[in-house]
Parts: sequence; C-alpha cells; structure tokens
Amino acid sequence: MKPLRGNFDTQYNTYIAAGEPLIFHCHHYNTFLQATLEDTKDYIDIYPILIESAQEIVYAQMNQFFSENQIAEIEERKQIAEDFFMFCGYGKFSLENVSVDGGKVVSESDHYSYGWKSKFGLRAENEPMVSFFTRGFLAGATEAIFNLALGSMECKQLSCYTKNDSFVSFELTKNINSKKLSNSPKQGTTQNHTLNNPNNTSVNYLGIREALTNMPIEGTPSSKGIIDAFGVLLTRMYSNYYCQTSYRMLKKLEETMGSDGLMLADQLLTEAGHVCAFNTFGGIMQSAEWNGLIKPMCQTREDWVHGIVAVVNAFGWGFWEILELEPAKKLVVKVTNGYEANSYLQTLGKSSIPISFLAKGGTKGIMNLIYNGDITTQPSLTDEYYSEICNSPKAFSVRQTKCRAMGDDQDIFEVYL
Amino acid sequence: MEKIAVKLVKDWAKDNCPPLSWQRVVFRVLPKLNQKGVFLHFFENDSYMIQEDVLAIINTGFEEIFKKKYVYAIKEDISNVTSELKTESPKIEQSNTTLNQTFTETPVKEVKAWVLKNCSPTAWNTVIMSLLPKMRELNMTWRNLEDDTFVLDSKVLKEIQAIIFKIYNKNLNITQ
Repeated sequence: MKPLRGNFDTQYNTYIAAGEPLIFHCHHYNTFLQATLEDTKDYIDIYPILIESAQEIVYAQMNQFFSENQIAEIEERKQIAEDFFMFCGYGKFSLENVSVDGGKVVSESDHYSYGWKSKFGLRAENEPMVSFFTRGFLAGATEAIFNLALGSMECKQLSCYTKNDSFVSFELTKNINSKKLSNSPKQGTTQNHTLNNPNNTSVNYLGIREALTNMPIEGTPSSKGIIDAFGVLLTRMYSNYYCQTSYRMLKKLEETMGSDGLMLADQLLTEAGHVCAFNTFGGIMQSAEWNGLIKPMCQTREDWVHGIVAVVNAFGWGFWEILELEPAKKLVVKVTNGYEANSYLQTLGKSSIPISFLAKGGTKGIMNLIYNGDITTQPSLTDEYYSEICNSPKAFSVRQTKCRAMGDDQDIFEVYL
Repeated sequence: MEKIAVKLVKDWAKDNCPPLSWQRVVFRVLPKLNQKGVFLHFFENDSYMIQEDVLAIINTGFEEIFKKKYVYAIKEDISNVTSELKTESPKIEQSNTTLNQTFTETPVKEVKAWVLKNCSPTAWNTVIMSLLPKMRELNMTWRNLEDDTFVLDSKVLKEIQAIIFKIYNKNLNITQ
C-alpha cells in the first residue's frame, strides 16, 4: 500500500496532502466550533453542512490521490482511506464490510465522539450523535473507492460514546438519486511567502519550524488513531472543513436572520479560536518539547510570545509574523497565506466583514496566556483558570484590522488591552 | 408581567457558566427572540428589561447547553422573606401554627401545581431557592424538586408550607 501522507510546503507554510491543505487543531477547537455551529440547529439546517463539507473534501482528495498514483485495487484504496484517517488523528475504523452498495463500519475510536465526551460529556437524548465529520469522511471516501459520483453515498451513525455506547459505528447506504454537492476549494487563493528569523529575538523561527514539521505527530494503530499530545487530542484536520462549515453557516445565518446574528457569530467563532489557543498553545508551552527545544531560546517574556508564534508557523496555518509587541499591552500579527482567507476568497469571493476568526482568537489567546495569566509558571489549564483569565480586568481584546477577504493585501490582527 | 434587567442575567451567566455562554445562548434562541420582537441590539443596553416570557426562552437555551437556568425570583423573594421575618412577627406566630400540620407524602408534581396555581407563576422557583440552605438537612438536592415524580415527605412539605406562608400568606392545602 502506498500511504497518503502529504508534505509540509515551506512556500505556503502548510501541509498539502493530495491537494488538500491540512492543519493542526485540537479537540477543544473541533468540538467547540461544532457546538457553536450546532447552536443554529433550530433555524439553519446545519447537520447536512457538517456532513457534506467533509464528504466533498475527502472525495476530492481521495480521487486525486488514487488517480495520480494509479491505484485501482478496491482493497488497497480501502486501506489508504483507513490509514489516512488514523494518521490524521481522526480515529480508527475498518471498511472491511463495505461494498459498492454500502455496509456497516465499526470504529475502534473516533476523535469527535471521544473528544466531545471528554470536553462536554454525554449528549442529550434529543440530540443526534456527534461524529458528523466521520460520516462525511466515510461517504466521500467510499464514493472515491468505488468510483461513484460525489453525493451518491449516505452515512448514518449508529452508536456513539456521547450516547454512552461502548463503541462507535456507522452505516453506509447508496442514495437512489445523488445529492448535488460542490467541489472542494482545495488550496484556495494562496499567497507565496518566505519565513525569516526576526532580528529582535533570540528565538529561531526557522529552526523551530524545521524541528516541529519533522516530528512524528500522528495517529498509529496502537493509539487507535488518536493523537494525544501536549495535553490535548490533536488532529491534522482539513482546513477547508473548518472554512466550509463556518462560512456556509454564516451565509445561511445572514439569509435567515439578516445581519442581526453576524456579530454574535463573529464573537463565537473567535471564541473557538481562543479556546484552542488556551488549550493547545498552553499545553505546548508546558510540554517537554517546549522545555527542551524552545524555552532555552527564551530570555524574556517577549521571547515566549515569539516562541509560540514560531510554533504556529509549523501548524499549517500560514505565515505568522509579529509586527509589533508592546509588553503586556499590545500585539500586532500579520498572517500571510492564512487558510481562512484562502478558502473564503476561493469559494465566496469578497466579504463585507473580517472572516479570519481562528487567527483572531489565536492571537488574543497568546497575549492572555503570557501577560494576563502566566503560562511561565505552569498553571493547570482548567476550565476555572480559563474563566479566571477571561473575566480578569487584564483580559485582552482583539480586532482584525486588515482582511484579504475584504480586499486588503494581508490579514492583520491587533490584540490590545 | 414581571421584568428583569438583562445585566442580572449576563452577570449570572458570567459567574455560573463558561465564558461567552450568554452569547451562545442568545445565538441558539435568536429566532425565538426575534419572534417576540426582541433583537440583539436591545441586549447591548444592560438596563434593558427582559419580560418573563423572553427570559423563559433564554432559560431554555441555558438549560439545553449548560443544564442550568437563571432563577430570577431569588433575590427579590429572599429579601421579602427576610424583611417579613423581621417586621411581621404576628405572621410568624401564625405560621408556627401551620407548621404543626401533618402532611401526607406527595409527589412534586402535585405540590408544584398547587403552588403555581395558588401563589404565583414564579412561586415554585422561589420555593426551590428558599429551600436551598436546608437541602442537606432535608437529605435532598434541588434537582429532586425539578423531578415531578419525586415524593416529598412531611418534613419537606412543612418547610414548603412555611415558605409560602411567609411570602404569599397562603396555607398549603395538601394535608392528611
């Protein structure tokens, strides 16, 4: 079997696997973002968005990989899909019983199901099972494996950890009439750039990126496809999945509710990024890797800011550069080739509002961790500590002052007191 | 119809739920609020007064997401209890008489129905909040009072009788 892996492309500062950009994100972000999107369930048909966005992306990726590598054997295709799912930290399943007409899929573990239960607990009786991403992955992968048309498979979830089941399972069936789905935006509207070491810090951005992009952060058979690293459950997630689900929800929100809900959606999508920063950046800044590789480069607290920004440059989120840092007061970050703008510009064109929600929440999270809380003292990253930081008078705010999706040539974020 | 300042609910959410919980709840129930003629910008003004029916909608959001809800009668009614205890001693004497009553075991559903019918639409919440300090002594939790099938014993019913008498000057008419 020729495994699907992809490479880190330094020209774009992102991982590309058979045409699809992949980025690191944790279960806190994945589940909080999904929870926010699901909050619209009473007035937006959100569940098809959560499933079909994954289906379109996985279908495009698998098709490209099978075609480029001339992989025709069904069994090999199945193995590639299973292996990639596991490698990315999404969990572990078997397609053994799946035929061109569908079949049952039993999963040994599932990131969304496991991650949701560990963050939010069980879901209510009247709520559906949680693994919409996996449902879309399975449908899209099966279509590609059997050379079916996009939208021809349907996937239901039969059991879920969030429903107190002891395993996760799915059922694939063939649609009588294929659903009309869209093509993946793939890399989107990209920007080329080169990462340089800033001259005002001892932190070696290039060295850190080189080290981290070569670390084996991946799910394995023994970990059942779960990546337990830095105190969180990591995934190598399709950036287009976040973008398609979030922006489709925003469009529907605007169609349904006018502009009334947009500001609220902005705050909540940004909060997803902030939650992510708190847990993932916080976990990284307490990790053995940080202590061994990055902390020795840090002479000042400002170097900690540079250190974590250097790490972000290995996440696949584009190029992050600090334009201005006023200790404990202000941080200005420029993002080049940010995945949010890339995807938005490709699929929707120009926006009337700033749309880089993850980057907004992420930059704010850096300042809150380092100057509002004190991550250098290794606090426990609990819900209580998070609330304390958010409710503190020293809590930072953030605004996106430039946005490519609005016509600017770059994305700029200003974090301030 | 009773009203409450939106700030009180926001502050409660800040103290009792995760950050941004108010925003999540409003996001979830937005169309229902709009149907009531309430729009987001109304809430930007902290002194905006929420009507009881709007608070009920907001509370469904809190319950669905965070499994808790804002009980708005707390402060007002507890202060009523306190002031009446201080100033109206004849009532207390009278209530001592009623405390001697014996009650038969009764499910929450029946007691709650009687209280809501005879006291006020918010009286059951008031009863729950007023009982909170005694929950351990009564060997129960507030969740029991939200479970319609839970059976209240005579000791608990006596406490409820005392509360509704002090606040609403009514006698719980579920006796042996």
